[in-house]
Formats: sequence, C-alpha cells, structure tokens
Amino acid sequence: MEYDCEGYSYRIDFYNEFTTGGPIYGGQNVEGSRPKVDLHAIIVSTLRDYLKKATNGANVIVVLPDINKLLSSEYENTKAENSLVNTNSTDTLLITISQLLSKINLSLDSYQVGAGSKKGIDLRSIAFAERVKGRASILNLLKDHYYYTVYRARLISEKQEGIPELKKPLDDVILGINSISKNNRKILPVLFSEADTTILDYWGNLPANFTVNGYLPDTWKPERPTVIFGDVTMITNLLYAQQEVINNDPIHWHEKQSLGSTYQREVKELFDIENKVTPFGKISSVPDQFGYTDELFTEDQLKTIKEKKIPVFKYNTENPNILDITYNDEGLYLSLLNNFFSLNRNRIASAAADGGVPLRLSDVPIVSKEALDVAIISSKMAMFGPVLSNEEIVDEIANKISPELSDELFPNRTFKVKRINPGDIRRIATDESFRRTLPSGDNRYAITNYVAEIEKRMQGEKDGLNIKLSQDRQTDPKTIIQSSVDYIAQAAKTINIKTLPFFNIATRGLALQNPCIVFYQDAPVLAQQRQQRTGFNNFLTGVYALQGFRHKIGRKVESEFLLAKIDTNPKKKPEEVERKEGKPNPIVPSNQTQPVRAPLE
Amino acid sequence: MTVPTANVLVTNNKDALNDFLRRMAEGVPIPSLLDEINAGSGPDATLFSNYNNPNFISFETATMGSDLETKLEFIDPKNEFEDMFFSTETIYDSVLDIFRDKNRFGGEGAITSEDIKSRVQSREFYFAFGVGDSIESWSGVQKMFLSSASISPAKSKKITLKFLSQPRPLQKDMRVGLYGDPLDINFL
Repeated sequence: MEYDCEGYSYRIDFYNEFTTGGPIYGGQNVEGSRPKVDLHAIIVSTLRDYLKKATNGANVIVVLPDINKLLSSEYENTKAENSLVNTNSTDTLLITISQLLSKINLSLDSYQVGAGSKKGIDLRSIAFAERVKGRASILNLLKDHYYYTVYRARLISEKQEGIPELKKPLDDVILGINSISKNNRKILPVLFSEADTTILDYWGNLPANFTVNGYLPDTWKPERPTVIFGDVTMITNLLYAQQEVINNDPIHWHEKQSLGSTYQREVKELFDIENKVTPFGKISSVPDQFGYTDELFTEDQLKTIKEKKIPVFKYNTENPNILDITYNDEGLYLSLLNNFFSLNRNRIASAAADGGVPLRLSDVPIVSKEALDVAIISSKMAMFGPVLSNEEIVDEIANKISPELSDELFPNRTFKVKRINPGDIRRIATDESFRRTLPSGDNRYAITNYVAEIEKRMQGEKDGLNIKLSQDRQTDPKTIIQSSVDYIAQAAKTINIKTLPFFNIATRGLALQNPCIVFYQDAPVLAQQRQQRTGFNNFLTGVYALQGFRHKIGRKVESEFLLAKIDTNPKKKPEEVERKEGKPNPIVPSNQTQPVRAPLE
Repeated sequence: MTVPTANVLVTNNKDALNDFLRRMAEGVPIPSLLDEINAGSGPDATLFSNYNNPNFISFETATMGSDLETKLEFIDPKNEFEDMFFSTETIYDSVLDIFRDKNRFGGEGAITSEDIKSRVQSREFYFAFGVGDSIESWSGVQKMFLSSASISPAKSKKITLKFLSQPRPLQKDMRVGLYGDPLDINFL
C-alpha cells in the first residue's frame, strides 16, 4: 500500500498539560474560553491540512458541528477506562486521544525533536519506574519526554493500484464520528468547490481568525480555487447564512466567534435582491389555481416564502415554469401502493357466523376453535370499543362457547367459571413457577390456561420493526426515528425538473439543501375541464431541498434541478375547502375551488 | 415586443465582468457594454461571447451529483480561438524567468521546486450567463479553470472546452483521462 497524501494537525501540546494543566491545543493567545481538550480543533485542522495538500494549495473551508459535543460521551468513557490503569493524568489523556482518533480513522503521530538521548521512551516503562523509583527524577524524565516529542493528529490516503483515493479518508472520518457519537446530531458530509465570486471575494476580504482562512492571517489566495467540506446543514445555515441556526445545534466556539451575527448579516445582504422578478415571473409566486392553496399555506408561510425568496416550481398550473418532470422512485411510492389493508367481506361474514368476532359483540355461539381464537385476539386488540380485560374474556367465553366446542377443547369439564383473580392470565403466560402452583383439572383455570396460551403466542408472533436504542443516547426515541425517516425519504424520493431558465440559482453553496416548493398537477387531458387532484399530485407536491442544478444555453435555453423531498408525510388533509360565509377566499375565487381528495386513505 | 435572449460571457478579467453586470443593472444596453469591454486590448477583452456570434453552439454548467462541469462548444472557422485563449508563454519561459531574476537580483537560497511549482498554475476564467438584460436573471461571476479541450477538425473545426471550479477534484471517478481511464494527476 502506498501513501498518497498526508494531513496533520498542529502540535498537540501534552507538555503544556503536564506542566501547567492547561489546554493541549490551539496555543495560549486565542481569545475566548475553550476546553482543555479541543478535539474539534484538532480534527478540523487535520482535515484542512489534508485538503490543502490534496488540492495543491486550494483555499479550504471546513465547517462541522462541534465535535467536542458529539464525542463528549465517548471521550469521557474512554478517559474513565484509561484512568483506571494509568496513574499519570497526561499519560491518560494521551492514550485517550490516541484511541479516540483511531476510532474515527485518524491516528496520533509522534516524532522526536531536540535532545537525541531522550528518544524512544516507553511510557509503560516510565509508569513502572514511577512506582519503583524516586518521584522527582521520573517527573523530570516525563517532562523531557513531552517536551521533546511532537504529537499530531494524522490523516492519510492510500493509493490503490497507483490511483489515489483522496475522498474516501474524509468520508471515513465522518463515518467514524457518526458511529461513535451518542448525540442525535449526525454529520451529513458534503465536499464541493465554490465558483461564485460574489461570496469568494467576500471571504477573501475577511480579516484573520475567520473560519474561512483557518483562523490564520494571510492564508487566503484569491487566485486559487476554493474547496468546502463539512456538514451540509452547518454550511447552508452558518457559512451561507441562509437559515436561522437552531439553538440546540452544536456550534464550536471558533465558528460562534467568526461566523457570528455580523457575518450572517453581511452574507445575507450579498444574495439579497429585493423584488426578485425574472423574465418569467416572480421566483416565489404561488399558483392560484389550486383549491387548497389557501389551506396549504398560512398567511405567515406565504409571507416567509416571499421574504426568503424560496423558489416555487409549478407544473401544469397557471403560469407554469416546469417544462418536464422526472420522478425517481426508490420504492417509496411503490411501497405506498403496495401496503394496504384487505377488506374481505366473505371471510368476515364466515368468521362472524362461527362466533369469531369480539366477544362483547358476539350474539351467536362460538362453534370452532379458529373462531374462538379470533374472538379472543380481536377482543384483546379491539378496533371498535374498548379492549376487554383478560378476566372479562374468560367470563365471556364461558358464556358463549358452544357445548360441542367445549367438549372438543375441554373434555369432561363444566364451565361455570367463578371470577378469577386479576393478573392471573398474564402470570400464567409468563411465569412458569406460578403455573406449576395451579391445581390441575380445576375448571376455573381451564379457559384461563387457553387464553394464556393465546396471549403467549401473540407475544411470540409480534411482527414489526424493532429498534434497540442505547440508554445513553442523548435524545428521545421519537426524534431519532423521525430524523431517520426524514433521511431515508430524502435518499429515496428525488425528482428532476427541467424549467424555464433560473440562471440566478448558480451559487453552489446555495444549491445545497436549500428549500424550494413544487406544485404538481396532472395535465388537463380532458379539454376544458380542470383536473381533480389525485393522490400522485399530492404525493409530488410539497417542500423539497435543492440538491443540484444544470443550466443550458443552446438550441434550448433551460435549467434543470435535482430536488429531494423533505416532507415525509404522503397524506394530505382529506378535508374540503370551506366556502366561508360572507368572507370570500382571498386567493381563490370560491367558484373555482376544488375538493381535495385524500390520496392514500 | 422584446424577447429576452440568453447570453454567456467568458473573460480573463473578473473586475471587467463585474463591471459589465453592474452597468447592465443600471440599464446600459448589452451591445454597447460588449463594445466597450472589447474596445481595449489585453485582459479586459471578452474571450468568448455568444452575442451575435454565429460560431456559438452551446453552453452548459452543472453542479449535480458527480457532474460538476462547465462545457462550452463552438466552431472556429477563423482561428480566433487560438488568438484569444492560447498563452503567449510556455512553462519553460516562466522557469527561465526565475533563473534570470535570480542572476540579475541575487537572493537567498537556491531555486527550489516549490518556486517552480508556484509558477505552474491553472489559468483562471470568469463566466457570467443570464437571460435578457435584467440582473436578477443572471448568474454571479463564476471562477473556473480549464480542465480539457477537444478539437474536432472535420468541417468547421468544432471546439469543446471543459472547465472545473476545482482543477484537482478529489473524487476518484473524476480524476480521469481523455478516455475515462483512472488517472494519477498528483505528479505536479
């Protein structure tokens, strides 16, 4: 294996920690409070150095959420484990950082400088010597060791068959962070180069100590290309100042300082053109054809669309701007078509005739074992009316089971069941020792045993998605599931649209996850008749995130956008648009409103 | 009735292109702006414009997945392309300049490979494209680097230029040769 590109952090100063207990990274002259172990700064500076070398000296911007917070649990746990076997706190810290870096596909590199006699000290020998020799001499030895050894984080790429694989190490680092982080905030990595000189010139004129210049003076080279790597949300919200930063989003103190309110205001102004009107209409005009338009957006939301100039793409509406649309389904729509509840009236009727309906509703004897099972199960999982308790089920069975079936299932028993004790069913199903204490042959418990067996079988046959979550996850399961579903939906549901030219959407950083709205309506194939909205219309209509763009000037002049769906809920409200008495609809004339059909009810 | 037309401009001079867009926003007609920008010689002149240009075939710029290219196609029956695009000096001239400067002015230390590398840089090109003369329908000025050029000599000599915003892409599948073959371009 051949190494191709190597990136390093600055020196990790264990000597400073050993002698003063101070921070191990970033020097002493940085303003603001900072943690003793700034993993974020170590990792970001390593990534930046790697990218700088891989791109032959491009301007490099790395924006990631605060890794100190993402890895806080892992750091504390690793440190606690190491402190049990190491007496020296600096030693513990060094091993902890080395282990953490290796978990995220980085490594701790070291080399000796200065006095040659101090080379090659084995920390384990020092720890042993500390226990058996005088304390003063060994402290000096350690002091010299940390002073003369330069520690740095290291990221390398490898060549495979002579071809460099430069992108993969970056992805591996993010993969490592995401996999060991106990925080719900995961990093969605993106790597791109910005070409728009509007923002490039602004970054080039920023003073030192900014994220864009690596917090250093004179590092920006205007003649060089600019590469941006990091978390897509942080880049969109912080670096391009497109959305308000969510309060609980972890932001490193470096970014808080350099990309603060002044930066946000100035960058917003760069892209803020009032009353943005293209030759093809307002970029954020909402079609007024749909009957549900006023129901879909509140006044505040419409105001936001106009203020934020969120692009609105329209297909087959009045004043449309989409020329063609291609839906790339990875199974999401198909699964919605495929998953349904079957309504088989014959089967239900047959079961009811046998008594296989919830026991409370049944007014016919239960005549078969299958019907009894259905009756018990449906009584425990009732869709209509309250669920019966186990005790009630036993009472109902005793009253409604046919004599023939009772002879078949419970030969030589009579069923005048007294009231059983609450909780016995569940204990019989789960507690073997309790079952053994029951008197055999007692009629009172015969049905109870049968119901318990059914319950046991139901527990065993539970089918569904089981997700095991670690107890130390720093968020609630609902949020985790929701974010997972959103992520899957974005990956699964994308559309390509060809539109009239929107050449103003050409800044790459602004085409990352920025919101836009698509209105989809079937083509009016029946002449003169407005099409009713279908489930597919509602399925495609909604809020999307911009993923990419293509602009063409040639025989055709058009733009093309790749969009991913943000809204993961396929259902729209099944309500009809209400005609308000004496209060005409402000957007849609009431005589043009259309009822909205629930797409997939 | 005025029908907005689509335009693309390529120059070596960012400030000239920014000035073009600023003055267009102020209402100066595009033809007179082009005349002005081309009136002087040297870097201010447009390298390419499709305005009233019968040689123009197509322009396309994309940031979509791994497709991050900008492509310009045109024909060049009068050999204007060579006059406009070709560099007047070679890398050898540039390296010789370093040695001449060293001999003439002296200086500390020997000439290093880093000194030579610093002279070997991709040339910057600046693009702007849009519809009509409304600034809201134009892109900002985009900085690009030439990544490949192919010339089809048949008939009217069709030239295809490809540009990248980052001349050394990291993705393995983007570091390819003329025929799509994987390429180690770390040799510089």
